[in-house]
Parts: sequence; structure tokens; C-alpha cells
Amino acid sequence: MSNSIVEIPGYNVYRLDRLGKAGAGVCAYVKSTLKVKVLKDLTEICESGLHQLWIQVQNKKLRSLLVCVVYRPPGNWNCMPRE
Amino acid sequence: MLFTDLQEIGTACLENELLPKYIEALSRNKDILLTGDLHCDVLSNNPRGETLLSFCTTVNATQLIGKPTRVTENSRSLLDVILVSNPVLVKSSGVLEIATSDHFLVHVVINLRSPKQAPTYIVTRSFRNYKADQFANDIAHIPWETMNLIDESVDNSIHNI
Repeated sequence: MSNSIVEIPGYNVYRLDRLGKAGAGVCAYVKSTLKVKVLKDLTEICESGLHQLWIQVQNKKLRSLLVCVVYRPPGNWNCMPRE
Repeated sequence: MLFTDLQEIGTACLENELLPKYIEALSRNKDILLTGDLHCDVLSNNPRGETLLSFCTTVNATQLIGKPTRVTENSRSLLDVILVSNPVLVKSSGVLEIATSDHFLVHVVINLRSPKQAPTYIVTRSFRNYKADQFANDIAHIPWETMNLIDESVDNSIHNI
């Protein structure tokens, strides 16, 4: 799905899509005046289905903030540690 | 009993997957705001809700939302949470009961500007117009012999300061 479908004017969208599955994933809409860095080393969708989208947001020269958008599906999947 | 076990397995990812990332994020010395739906109702006593609240305790985060975010004919649950590492930043937060989805919208307003410190006053001597010879002259004209009139006990108390 392309960003143009989910765009909101004045905001940038940061997406964490669940590959190979329709209708899953999380995203963050951030006002386009704010500086955003996606923290790729923290962002992931685990085997369990837990979504974590981590971004660093900064307004002008103010101190930056880490924002995490999470989603856990309502099922009972186990979380196996990754080898 | 089996049901309870399954639920605990379901939320094990909070400890196994979310906690390590959160700790990694904490090590960057930034304030953290975590939001989303973890399917852990923190409004009633249940294993999932308790798992999430215990996560908050572990990482010393504050959960801001206090009202149900998903209301159906026969259930009221608080699934959409906002966790903050530093509650001092929070100006306001709450739930907007809008019907664009089966969940309400949670919101938080944070203030990242550091609070302005109250002014402090100091008394200091300005040496901008200091003239050494005039100062020496003033010192020379002080009647130092009056020092002898000061009570000895006062003198001692000055030494004790």
C-alpha cells in the first residue's frame, strides 16, 4: 500500500507494516514541522506479533523525545526467544 | 486454570520482546512515550492487565489513561494506554470518545520546555569604579581603636561562624 492512500496533509507518516499480511501494522503521523528519526535497531515486529515502532521526535531545538507505537494482537501466541 | 496460563503466555512478549527494547531506549537518556493497544485491560483485575502494570513498575513508567477506551454493550475495557518515563512533562491527557473506530482516541499533551527557574538575587560589590588609592585612604581613616569596644563574646561568636 502506498503512502498516498494514508496521507494526511501537514503530517508525515511513518509505517511499520506487517509483511505478507493485509490489515496489520502500526504507523505514526507526525506534524511535518517536527524532526523525526526512525530508530531502526529498536523497531520490529516480533514472532509473537508484537509491533514496536520507535521514533525520535524533536521540535526545533527542544530536547528530543523517544516515541514508541506498540500493538499486540489479541491472540495467545507465545514469544519464543529468537536464535 | 489453563485459560490463565494461556493469557500469561500471550503477554510474555511484554517481558521478552518489549522490555529489552525499552531498556535499550532508556539507555539513550531521552524521555520515552509509549502508546498503543497491547490488549491488556488495565481497568479490571486480570492477568494481562497485571502484566502490563508490572511492566510499568519494572521500567518506572507512568500509565496516564484512566478511562475505558473500548466500550461495547457488555464490556468496558481500557486497552489503549500511554506510558511515559517522565510524568513531569505531561500537561494533560485523556480519552476522546469519538466513534471513528471501535476504540476511542487517547491523547497526551507534553511540555518539553524546561520550566523557567525563579530569579535569585545576589548582593555583590561592583568594582567598575574602584579606585585603589581612594579605598586605601578610606581604610586608613577608619577608627580601628573602636574595635576594642566590641564585646569579647561577640568576637568569639564571629570566629565560630
